[in-house]
Amino acid sequence: MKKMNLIFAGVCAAIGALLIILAAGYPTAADYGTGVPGPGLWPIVISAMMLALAALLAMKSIKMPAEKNTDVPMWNEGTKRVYITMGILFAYVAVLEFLGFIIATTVMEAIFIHWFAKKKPIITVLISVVVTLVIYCVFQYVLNVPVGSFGILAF
Amino acid sequence: MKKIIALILALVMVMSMTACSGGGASAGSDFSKMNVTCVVPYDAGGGTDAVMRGLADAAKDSFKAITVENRSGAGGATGMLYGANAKNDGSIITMVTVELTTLEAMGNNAGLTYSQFKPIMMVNSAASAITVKADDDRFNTLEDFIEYSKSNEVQVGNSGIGAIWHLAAAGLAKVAGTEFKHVGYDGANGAITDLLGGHIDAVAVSYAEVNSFVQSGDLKVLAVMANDRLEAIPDVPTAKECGYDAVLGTWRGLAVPASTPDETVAKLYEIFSNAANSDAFKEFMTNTNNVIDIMDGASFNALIADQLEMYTGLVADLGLKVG
Amino acid sequence: MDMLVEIFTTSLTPVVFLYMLIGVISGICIGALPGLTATMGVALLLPMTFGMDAAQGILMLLGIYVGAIYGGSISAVLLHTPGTPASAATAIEGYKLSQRGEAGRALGVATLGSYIGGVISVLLLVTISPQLAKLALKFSSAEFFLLAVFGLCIIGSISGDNVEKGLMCGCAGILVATIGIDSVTSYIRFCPEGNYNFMGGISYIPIMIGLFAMSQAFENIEDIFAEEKEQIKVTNIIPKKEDLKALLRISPITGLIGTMIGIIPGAGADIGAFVGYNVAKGMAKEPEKFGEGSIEGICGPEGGNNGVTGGALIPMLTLGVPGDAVTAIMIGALTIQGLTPGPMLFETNKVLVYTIFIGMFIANTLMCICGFAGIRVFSKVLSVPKVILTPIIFALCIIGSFAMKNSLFDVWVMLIAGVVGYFMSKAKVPTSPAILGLILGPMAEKNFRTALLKSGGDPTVFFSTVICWFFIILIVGTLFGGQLKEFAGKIFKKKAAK
Repeated sequence: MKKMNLIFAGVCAAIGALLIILAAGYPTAADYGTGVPGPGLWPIVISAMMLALAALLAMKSIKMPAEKNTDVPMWNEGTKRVYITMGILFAYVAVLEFLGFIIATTVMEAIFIHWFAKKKPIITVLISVVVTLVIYCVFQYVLNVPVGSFGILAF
Repeated sequence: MKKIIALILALVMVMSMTACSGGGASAGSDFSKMNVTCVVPYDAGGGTDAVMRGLADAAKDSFKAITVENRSGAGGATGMLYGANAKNDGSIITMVTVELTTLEAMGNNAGLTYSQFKPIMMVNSAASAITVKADDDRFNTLEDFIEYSKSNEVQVGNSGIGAIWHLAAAGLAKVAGTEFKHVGYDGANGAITDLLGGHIDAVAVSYAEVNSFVQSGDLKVLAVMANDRLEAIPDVPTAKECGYDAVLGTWRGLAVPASTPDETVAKLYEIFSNAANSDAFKEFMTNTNNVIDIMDGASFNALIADQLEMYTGLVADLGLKVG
Repeated sequence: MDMLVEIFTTSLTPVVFLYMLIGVISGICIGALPGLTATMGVALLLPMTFGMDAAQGILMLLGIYVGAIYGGSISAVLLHTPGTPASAATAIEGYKLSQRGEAGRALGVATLGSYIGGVISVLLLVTISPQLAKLALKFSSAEFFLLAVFGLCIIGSISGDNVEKGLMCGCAGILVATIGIDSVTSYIRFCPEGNYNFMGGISYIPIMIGLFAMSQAFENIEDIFAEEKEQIKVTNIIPKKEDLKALLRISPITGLIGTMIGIIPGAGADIGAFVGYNVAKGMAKEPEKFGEGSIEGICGPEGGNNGVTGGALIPMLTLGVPGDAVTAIMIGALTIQGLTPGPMLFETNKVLVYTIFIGMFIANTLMCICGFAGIRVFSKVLSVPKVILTPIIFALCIIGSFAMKNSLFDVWVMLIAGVVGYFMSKAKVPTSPAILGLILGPMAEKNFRTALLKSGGDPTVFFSTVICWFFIILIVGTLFGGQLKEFAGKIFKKKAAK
């Protein structure tokens, strides 16, 4: 937990610092002359708050008693499976635009169901096709969301 | 191995099945056999959306199917860019608005420019109406308003900084040689509510947006920035009549990608001008307080070019350019 | 009395009931699907009302509105997927209960809580709407700023034991919301050069779907091969005596607060729900249960978000000013019918106004009936094995985030938010503060700066009205309420000792 807290505080602090540097270059109230604060003020204030909180969290975590410091496993069977899933989904969204919703989603569903449910291939395919088509039809025809407006075959 | 082959086979089957059902979209430009999509670059429920939906409803018999799609974002640039880069067979029609020129003038157009489109026709236009509270004794005419603003601070609400109603108010101020303090809201509603509550002095939005409050006697219109007086309020003068030559407002029209063949555009013009002249659409537009203003593709294109030049000059004068 | 007869013979015909039923049911379905909000549902079905008469059309839209605000809670409880932003607060407690096998109990309480909130708001709408409507116009930028700040203070109470992490997460949400064109000066902030996807800002719906639903689905993957728990029967749908007590104690109050929030233009059901959650925590008999699956934590937000529905109608009907995004579309629906909402409507079209009042009550009742009748059906979702359900949730998250603006960019945003959300929950960082920051951050900033623009840079504008002071007191009370209580307690004890 201690390590996780420190990483979280570090990431937030880095983002906060970066944003302050970026926003410092934005026009200020004086440039507008109407009394309106410049676009940089708000991000700077919020980033500064985030930096302060990150420092507080880091201090608390370092002082954290050892018995409270539970270990969070980040590399085991379960989490590895999650990372692979994330990878597949990123690949899926990347090809979504080219393959279109129906093909890409059917394949994605088939991969996951084949992996998780370990059913017969024909059932796996059947489930993925039905699921994809139901979602497609509900959104495309009932809700009028143009799911079928991209992809090589335009569906 | 067998399993995998079976899986692949089944997938191929599904793909070919679905491919057959979706394959027949490119049937030339015979629109009665075509599915047409109209892209609205703003959210559902807004003014542009309402006009497009009304028009699509009036034109629905000329197509196999016509659907309206909202692609909002980046002040309209997202949807218009999508429409400009769409297929050039007339199956995707974009509702272009004055933001096609103002975004480019402001410099936050993200590469969007009007030459990416071939305009079909203009459908509707709405002029800015300078509106104040009905019980505001300081202002009874536009002259009062302008004169007052020369020696006092006047806060004019608009639908967003850099949006058309901001530029319209700024344009009037420029013509009249005065200055307003422009207060931007997210959409005209916020500005009107703040005016009703007496937190600002005036709004410069379209008449359609303040109509109900003018009728209920809460607000009054000092002048409209149109060429002619509006039918709905014949007693209200135009800014021109008051001596300030400012004709500013929004317009909406239909356009297709620039590479679309001329004959396709001509067919679409025929379909949509008939729809726009239909009684159903006229009644719809009267009910929603919109003014039908039809212009053919060529003159619409010329108007867009004119307006781009005008807004570029105005934005430069106001120092609003961002990118 | 004559009026009632007239209403039931002319405008509230069986056909209207049918339209309302269709509206409520489609509303519940739209609300339950992630990414489809009440606003979208009403906008989608708006063209259908073009052919109806005014009463039919507007009552069907009201049915959708009420149904969608409730429907979002179903997926929030069952799948940790708030169907609409208004249910994000319900997801916190509801899903915990669902994991303990008490999904039926949670859904029952959510349904009844929604009903109570909705009915309270209708009562206020009918009885004192003209008086309340004036309140809407009193709100200007300074008041909105303080309201938003008050809303942000709630981050403390939705963060559980991890207040610093919750606040950091809220800050991150506010910062994400600053990306894009700044609406006060039109300056472009934190944008990669020329990328118009960022220019319009990053919308919070895909982020919400990612943080709640997608990250939950990732967590489910971790032990996907574990033995499925025996399917617990959905029981206790009708709330038991103790739950009823909690409902009757909390929901009317949060319904009332929700109504007030609904009246204020620009503040919608999402804010109503979070404020309701906060109030419920303050009123709770067992505040320590909050974050672990508290029934009281469902009564609050559910009363709050459905309270907004009636509240938002008040300024719409009496002033012609929309109370939130949904009522803005309804004003459009009325104008298309040739009617003008506003004070004149009460005089020129009294029958329609009272039809809407009664119709609103009926819509809430239909929602309650459909809700209870449907709980068993909805809960069938849980009997789908996780190995199949999880991939389906993936597809729904993808399409839900796409549906908002029909943009693939939003799908990427959702996916990245899902990955971030997964690691955040590993680090025990509460994710709902980010949603609150995304919703309220821009509102706070914009109004803070607009108020200063209007006052010419004079900061006293934030202390100039009674409403401002009201919110300042609320903010101070929320932030230091605990310490003040302790302090008062000490003094009291000392006196007693003497």
